Amino acid sequence: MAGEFINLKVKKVAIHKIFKREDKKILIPPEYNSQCSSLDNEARRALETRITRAFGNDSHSLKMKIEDTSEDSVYRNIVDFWGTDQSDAAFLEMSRQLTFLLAQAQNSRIYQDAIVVIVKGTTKAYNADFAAVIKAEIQDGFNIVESDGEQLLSYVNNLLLTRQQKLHKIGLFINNQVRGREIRQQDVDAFLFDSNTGESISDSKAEYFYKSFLGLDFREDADVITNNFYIATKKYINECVKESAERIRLQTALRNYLYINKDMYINSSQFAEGYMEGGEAKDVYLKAMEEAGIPSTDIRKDVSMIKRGKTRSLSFENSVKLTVPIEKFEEMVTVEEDGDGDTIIRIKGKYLDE
Amino acid sequence: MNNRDEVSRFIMEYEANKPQYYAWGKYVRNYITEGLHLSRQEYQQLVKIPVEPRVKDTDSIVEKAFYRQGKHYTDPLRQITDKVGIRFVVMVTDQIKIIEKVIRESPIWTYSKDQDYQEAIDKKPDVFAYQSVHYVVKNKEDIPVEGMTIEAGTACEIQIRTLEQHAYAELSHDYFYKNDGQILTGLRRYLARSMALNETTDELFSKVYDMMNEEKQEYTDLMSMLKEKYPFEDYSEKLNKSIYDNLLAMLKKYNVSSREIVDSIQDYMIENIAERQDLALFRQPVVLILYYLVKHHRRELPDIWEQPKGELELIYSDLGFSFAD
Repeated sequence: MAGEFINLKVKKVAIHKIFKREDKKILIPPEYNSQCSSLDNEARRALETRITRAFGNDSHSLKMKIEDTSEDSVYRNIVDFWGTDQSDAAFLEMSRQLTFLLAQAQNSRIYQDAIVVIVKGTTKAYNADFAAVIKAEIQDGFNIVESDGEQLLSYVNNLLLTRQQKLHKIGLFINNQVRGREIRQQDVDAFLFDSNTGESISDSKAEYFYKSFLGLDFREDADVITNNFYIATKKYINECVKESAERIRLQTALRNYLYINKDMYINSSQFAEGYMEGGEAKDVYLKAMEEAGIPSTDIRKDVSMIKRGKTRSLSFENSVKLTVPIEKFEEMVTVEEDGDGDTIIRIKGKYLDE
Repeated sequence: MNNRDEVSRFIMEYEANKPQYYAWGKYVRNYITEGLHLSRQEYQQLVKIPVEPRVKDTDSIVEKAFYRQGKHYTDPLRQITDKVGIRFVVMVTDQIKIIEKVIRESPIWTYSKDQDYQEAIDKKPDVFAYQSVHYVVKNKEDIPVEGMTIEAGTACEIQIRTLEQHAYAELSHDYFYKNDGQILTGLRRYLARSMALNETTDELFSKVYDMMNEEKQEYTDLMSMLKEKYPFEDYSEKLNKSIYDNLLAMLKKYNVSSREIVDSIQDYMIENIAERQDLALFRQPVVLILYYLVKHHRRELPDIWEQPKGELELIYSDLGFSFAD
């Protein structure tokens, strides 16, 4: 992916609080902070690196499609804010609006008290505007009743500086249009990070955040991108991995990663970390993927376009071919090179006929 | 024939002059040391043994003035040139020239080169023997030093040699004034072989120095290119160099040129560096090399990085990469 998160800078944050509903039909009004703040250097850098960690290349963020652009949408609130002089007052007003929208979207008693941090800043080499909404659940021991603006800020500082604390859910919008010009929908990119997404969490659990609140949806080209991922990785393995045993191992790993692994998302960097040895090989792979135009963040897994035969066909240089059923490949066949240019194949099973 | 009176007069006068000779030796040493214009560290890299003036023992000067075969002095006190001597011991033969230059360019004395082993080698290329460069300097005018006066024309011998040559000289010292016939053949052979080996070692040492200088030059050139992008006024040479040394193997592996590094620098990196002068890593010019390496080898870099990993995170972040611990 291009450098959406190069040179990311946090300019201001506004911190508000939303509450768990007692009755699922009754929204408890958020507690709004009356001012926004610039963080001190340490906390600001921490927040910047936390956001890049969440969204940058190699991260588990998702590029999303903007669905809801209505008057009350998060998108509209942010774009309208970008069109103002971006004063503290305008920022504070926008941040309150977004906080209210989130409180509204949390229409069930399962959602705990949470801190909402609205961030404005710039990113990319040319300082494009971005805005982000971070929702972090409140940890035990934080006294909600007595908290005021300053306490909230110091709480957020602590939250940022404690690496173990995950930023739970973040929505982030970037304006690619030149400042001052009218912003069209295609000028805005939207991204989602959710520390809870993974194999065990179903989409519906996160839907209130990305869909009801942020007005985003998954892009429709997941099948194409997954297929591209498959083709590019296969090509890398065949062309860049020298040892044949390693090539076969990685081809198996690729199939497992796509078909057996239960994660809903695939990710080049995750594949590299999971199956490759040494930074050098990983760098070569990731570069090959970038060159093939594969996003370097999460891709929603959709294997429907991948042509998947029932067998794997291994070719050898003297026209010998070996066909093996895909299922349980590793249990049926082992392939090794003896170092003198010969390949030793062990087949678990008796020869039948030809 | 010398009579006893002549010898005792000589001894009295020599003993009386000893403090001046010593002071002259010290003066010559300090003069040359300052004339090298080196930092303390550079001087220590060049001169390997502290330079101490040595005034010749009365016994040995008497032996030389009156009893040594083949010598005849009409005015030994003035004619003998090694009454006081200093010795510069360096690492390799090329460095001898650095000291020679200061001696030759001084306006305050006249000099003569009394021993030049290169000449001896040119004459007898198949002989391996004592090697050392000897100069004798004589002050042109009286010089007042420490309440004394160094009379014009006072000689001081300056020896310049390498550590290896010095080791040979120390080893062979006892045999130096003996005729060849007085030394055992086997011993002579071993001494010659030692010197032959010294010459070879010197050549190898010189190659090592050349390579080190080349690398040092590359480092210095690259750093001055980087400092043109941002001044890095508070950088620590020690930290900067140790990080550079840490990265060197990777730069060589991928044949990264200084030009590529400099060309990859973008304005926002400089702005971020300027804003982070409270962090040690960002005060070092080498941080710009890290931007290049993170950009192109983000997974391999942490494998070889010897500093705390967390320090890299801001660079990953600037470049839009998710940093994995």
